[in-house]
Amino acid sequence: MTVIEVEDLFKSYGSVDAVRGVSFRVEEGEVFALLGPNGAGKTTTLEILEGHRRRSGGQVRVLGSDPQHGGRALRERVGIVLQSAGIDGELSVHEVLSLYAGCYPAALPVDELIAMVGLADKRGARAKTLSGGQRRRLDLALALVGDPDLIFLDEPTTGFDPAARHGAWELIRSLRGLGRTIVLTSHYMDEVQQLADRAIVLAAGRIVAEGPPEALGNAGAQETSICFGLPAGLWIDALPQDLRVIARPRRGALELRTVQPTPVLLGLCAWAVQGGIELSHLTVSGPSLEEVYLQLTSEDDNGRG
Amino acid sequence: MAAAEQPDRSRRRRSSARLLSTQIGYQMRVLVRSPLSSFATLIVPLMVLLAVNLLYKGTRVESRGNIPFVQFFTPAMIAFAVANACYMSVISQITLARDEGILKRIRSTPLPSWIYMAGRIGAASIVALLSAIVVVAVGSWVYGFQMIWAAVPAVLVVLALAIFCFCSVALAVTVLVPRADSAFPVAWGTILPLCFVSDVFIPIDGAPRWLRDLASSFPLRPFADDLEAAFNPVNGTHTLQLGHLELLAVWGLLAGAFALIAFRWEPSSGHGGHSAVPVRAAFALDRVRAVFTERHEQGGPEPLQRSPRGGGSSPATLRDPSRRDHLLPTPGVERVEGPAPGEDSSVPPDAPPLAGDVSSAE
Repeated sequence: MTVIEVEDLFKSYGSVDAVRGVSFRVEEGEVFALLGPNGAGKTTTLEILEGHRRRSGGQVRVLGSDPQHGGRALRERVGIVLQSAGIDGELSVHEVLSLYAGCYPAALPVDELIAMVGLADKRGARAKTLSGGQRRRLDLALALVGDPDLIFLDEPTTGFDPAARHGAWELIRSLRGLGRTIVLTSHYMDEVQQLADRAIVLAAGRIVAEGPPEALGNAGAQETSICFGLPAGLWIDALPQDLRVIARPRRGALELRTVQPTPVLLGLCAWAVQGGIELSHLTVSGPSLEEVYLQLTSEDDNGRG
Repeated sequence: MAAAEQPDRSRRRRSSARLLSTQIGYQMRVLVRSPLSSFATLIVPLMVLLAVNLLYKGTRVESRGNIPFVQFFTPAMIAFAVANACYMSVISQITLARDEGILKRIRSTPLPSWIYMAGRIGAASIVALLSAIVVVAVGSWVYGFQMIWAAVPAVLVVLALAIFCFCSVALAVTVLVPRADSAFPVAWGTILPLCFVSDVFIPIDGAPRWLRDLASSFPLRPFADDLEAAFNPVNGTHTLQLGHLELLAVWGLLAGAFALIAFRWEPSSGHGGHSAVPVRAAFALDRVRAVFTERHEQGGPEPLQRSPRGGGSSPATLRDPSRRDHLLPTPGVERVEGPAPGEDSSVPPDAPPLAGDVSSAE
């Protein structure tokens, strides 16, 4: 079953086009990620799906309803981790969750939920005394309190320490195991690789790549990176002409980027062996998702000028 | 699975009455736990009552049948207390909750908007009634205010309408208050002048007619006059005055309707949400570093070129069309050292522009 359908979504703020023709579908039980730099339109897209913003154009269906008019019935089935939502600091963790649990018809037991997000020892603590990471865990608990079918997580682990982050990942995986549909935004490639079944990469309001995280690399240029160090006294200009034009300095060493790694590597090694030069720290690597992402988003960034 | 659950869920919804009482309880708890706001709401009218009565002790109000000052001023302070609890406090609490993103979070739950607003009004009513009781009690004990019990039923009707009216107007005013830090100037700046011309701080019986007419078109003067008349033992009346009640009801309904339509649940832009600048600022640093490397390598200062991007509509960037060549070492010059470890002096030709080209969308 399709949980979310987005067709040709547009959103502009005055003269600024934040989202420019985005289309995607999210199926039931999927973990779907929206990736992209700040200003790419991730949060805007998410907030339109959540019903917090009105779109300027296009079609959106969330759990069969238009989120702009979905109203109470839709909000009862959706849980949201907002990027910047407050909590009354004077209420305790348990009180906050009880208050919000009361708004939902099928709320989870509050104490169970507190244990799930690892705040059991903070049950009676006032919200204002929580650390940043603990606050985010409370945010997560508040998104889950209504036992939602669909969960929106806007940068769910920003500000978490590594242990809390892995804990949140486990929680998200277990939610997926329970058949919940999850849409998340993230800056972290590893998070997306760990959690998402599918992802789209947004840049300047457009989708620049989509697919399973491991396949996103195919969308970028398939450049292989060959890195090596040269002995003191030698630098780019010492390389043969055909290598010199593709060489770039990188972190104190040199990098050759090429779509044809075999002949380039052969040329480099032949030159080094001939000259008796040792290539220190020689590595050959495919593009990481991180690099693909940066390349994708910067390409588009340039293209919009 | 998801679709099948829906009817089941709506059957298990809590009743509106229960949701409302939960909301009122929550508002009250927050209020009790923030001593400063309780102080402002409960104590300010009391302080004015004590101080002003001290000044006018023994004087009488000629225009009101020569009654003792306290007999005029205590009901006036009930009106002030209600305005304080229902107007000033509601404006400042709501704008604060909005700036902190609490309203946005409430908006994402299934709680109907009207229940949230009714919860606000309910909590404000409790505070207003408490405040009124304290004012009457202190007025009686300290200055000998004479309670007229026969007036109480009519007074309660007027109080109920006034509480509804001032809360609704406050909800409507929050739409016009941009941020929490302007809540107090707006709230006090509107209510204080109104108090002076509405028989609250002083009777304006001798003021020009146009001023009295103007004041009577706002809800505070009819409300204060009704209370003052109800507790006036000489020439007062505690029968309900229809014209006054209608005015309060009309103000309340119009403001309430406006609030339901136009209420803002989210902070004004620029508040909350994180700014897009830091990441771009890091990019811009790279750019600055590149420009400086470039100048260094060319061996002399040269004015930084500012050339427009693309068609010239975008903000200017520190971009030199021939920059890429400059990043390569000059042929013939032996280069001994590379860039410092950990530094990447290479800047791709398509590096993002300086922060400034950042859309405020996220």
